[in-house]
Amino acid sequence: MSTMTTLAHYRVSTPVRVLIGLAIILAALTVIAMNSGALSLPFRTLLSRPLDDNMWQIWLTIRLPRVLLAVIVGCGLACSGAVMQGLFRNPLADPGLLGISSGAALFVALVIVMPLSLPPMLALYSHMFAAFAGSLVVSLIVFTLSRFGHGNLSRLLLAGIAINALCGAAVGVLTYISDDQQLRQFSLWSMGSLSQAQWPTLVVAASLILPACLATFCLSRRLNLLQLGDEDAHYLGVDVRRTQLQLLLLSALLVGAAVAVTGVIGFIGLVIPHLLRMRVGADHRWLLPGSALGGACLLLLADTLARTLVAPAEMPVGLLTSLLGGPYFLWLILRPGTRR
Amino acid sequence: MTVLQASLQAENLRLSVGNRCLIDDVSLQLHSGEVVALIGPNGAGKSTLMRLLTGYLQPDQGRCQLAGKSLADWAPQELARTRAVMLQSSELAFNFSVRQVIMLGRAPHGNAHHALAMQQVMEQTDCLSLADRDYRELSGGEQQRVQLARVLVQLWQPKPLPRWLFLDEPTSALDLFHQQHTLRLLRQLTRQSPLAVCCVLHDLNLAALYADRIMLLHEGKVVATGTPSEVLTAEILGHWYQADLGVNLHPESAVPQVFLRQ
Repeated sequence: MSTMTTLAHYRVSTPVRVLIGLAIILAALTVIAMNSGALSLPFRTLLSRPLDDNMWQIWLTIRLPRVLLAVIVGCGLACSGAVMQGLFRNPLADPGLLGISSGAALFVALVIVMPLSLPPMLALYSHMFAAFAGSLVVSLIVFTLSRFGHGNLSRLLLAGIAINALCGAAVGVLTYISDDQQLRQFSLWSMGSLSQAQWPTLVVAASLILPACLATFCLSRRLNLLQLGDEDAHYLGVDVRRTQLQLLLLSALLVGAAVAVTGVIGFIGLVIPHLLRMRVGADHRWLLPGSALGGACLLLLADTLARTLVAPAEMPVGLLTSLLGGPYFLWLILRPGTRR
Repeated sequence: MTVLQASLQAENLRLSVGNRCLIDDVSLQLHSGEVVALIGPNGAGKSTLMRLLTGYLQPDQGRCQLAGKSLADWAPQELARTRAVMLQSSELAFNFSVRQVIMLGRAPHGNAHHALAMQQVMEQTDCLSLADRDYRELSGGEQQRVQLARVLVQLWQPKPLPRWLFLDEPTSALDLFHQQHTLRLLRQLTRQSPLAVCCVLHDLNLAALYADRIMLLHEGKVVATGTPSEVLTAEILGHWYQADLGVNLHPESAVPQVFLRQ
């Protein structure tokens, strides 16, 4: 990283400190989350039991995969949010607001209501694939619109509203024609919850989200150059169209994978990159890994709260993140001195 | 170094969009060591011509060669180290610091010589005092200085290789001091190193003072080209700009100075 040495000495140290801090917080949260829940499972008690004890069973088959899933999905959501904001050059670009998540949800609903007969593991991937296709279709539509509108914010958000409404209506039609069992499966999924976490889900999600996150880190330098605008980036040797397409694919993949396993969980992709930008600056080489860590922290925290606040019942985690993110979003738009 | 290796050669460039001919049979050469000013009334095709010369747009007809090699044959990174372009304005959506923005210009260079390039260029362009400010909070003129630093850093190399710098109205938002400073700097750089500067200018008096050659564009054609005293005559300017103007001699340098009549 000798390139960083010239990037103001104080700037180098701050992002590193923030990233290390986030990693420590994430580790601490993980330990706490693994212990707490409807059934408290402190490590001390666990270690005193034999491995075939019920408590171990619960911990291994329910608690551990759920905690890890929260971490991975949180990474994916925040990272895709940061990538989209960079791609649209707009701090308000968020998979939820732009209708990308609901596009994914619509396609998953389609697969649930009109299922293909596939073996279980593949069926899980088919949700992923459907969600990916849905988020990709909407991403392409929104991105094309943003090209013609010259990045006009109100146009972009209006398009998001329209797409959200359309997808909502289409999902409504699908639920209307679905049978009881499909309806139950769909409504469980659409609430935005991590309660379906099992090892196979976790493996499938991780196999998509982690590589996609790493790939976005590799593109972060070019994402920085894109911030100057398409033409300037071209003059700096960037293949603009190709880079934009790669980033769009990756963020659609991240959103798709997250939506497929947990339903729509809003606002993480909006709030986390924004907070991180205030701490580490806009350089995507720090922002993307930082957002991934921050997203993991926030979703893990929200999910742990969702599991413990009303135990033994649990709240949908999407509800919690929206409760948190909604007011923040309002502040973001209404605060004095907003540039856009 | 042959003449070919140190020059950009454009032959019979033509570009039309729909029925409108934007660039009509333009041929020109840019040699390292000279400052060329592109002038012309609004909509003459100055920016479009620049986009053809830099390889951002492809001409319908004609060809453009940089150092003896067709623009299309250059590897993107190599081209980015050899020619840089400064647009009229560049806006950023996020909180990049001035130093980070300038540093983006080093992207085509891998890891080599960043510190030296940054230090030299930021001094030359008077950007050191802005280094840690948020780019978005700068005035238009300060942003132009930062963008100038960014393109100069992009071309900075320890070896004196031929390079081309294109600027689209680099002084439009600058105060008098920085207009002079910028154009003096560009002129000085072309004298020190094999650099060619091609610059769209609206201020004809600046063009007269600092350009070695001037090209006057009108409706996509080069209608006059030559030294400032050859092109900036009352007759030529009055005809192509349709303005009521006169031309005097600069009291100190032997270059024309244009004035408008009341």
